[in-house]
Amino acid sequence: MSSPATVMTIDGLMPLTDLEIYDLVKYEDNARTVVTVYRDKTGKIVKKDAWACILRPLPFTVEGGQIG
Amino acid sequence: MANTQAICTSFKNEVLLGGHQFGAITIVSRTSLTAPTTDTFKAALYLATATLGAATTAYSSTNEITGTGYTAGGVTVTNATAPTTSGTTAFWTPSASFSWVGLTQATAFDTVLVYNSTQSNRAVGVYTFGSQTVSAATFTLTMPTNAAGTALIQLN
Repeated sequence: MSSPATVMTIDGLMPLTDLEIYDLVKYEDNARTVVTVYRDKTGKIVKKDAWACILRPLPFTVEGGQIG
Repeated sequence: MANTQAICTSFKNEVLLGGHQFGAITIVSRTSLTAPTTDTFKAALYLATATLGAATTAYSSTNEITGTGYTAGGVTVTNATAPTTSGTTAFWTPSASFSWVGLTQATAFDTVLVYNSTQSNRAVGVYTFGSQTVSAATFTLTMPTNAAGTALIQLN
């Protein structure tokens, strides 16, 4: 019988089956962020991953001046 | 057929490649003037209370995050794809996401500074995202598509 999959948390390795896991997705001005929250059975956050996808690049315009 | 005043697209690309020098700048040698090496760029994370922006000239550890699993100075940017052009836009994007593993940062952070660690840590760009705290985390900054209109750095 295989043991349940585990994940490293601030309290060490914990079985995924002992955790409540959910994602929070936010759209900001410059980025979309996805946060995965892991809570133990007491509701304490024991792990929180985040991904931020940069949506808005930094363009800068190169202008040519007028002669005369 | 009329002429059209414009900054040449090839010049924009060559600016990103360091191919033009209009004034004297103190640089760290790129080994050879005729076959220069590519600089190393890095990405560092900053607290939401920092004040980075257009006036930022170089990397500083002031207000850089200090959480567990984070090394001052940040991570090296993967730069496998040279700047290129499409239409009249020259652009460049790191060729891999920035990622930190095993990161715990209790104080909110919302900014990454891309800077040139070869050239005296000169600043390249400041990018903000939603304020974050993370615990025992994988934190990943996903790069946009490397194309005109979406690339991380664009000269239009």
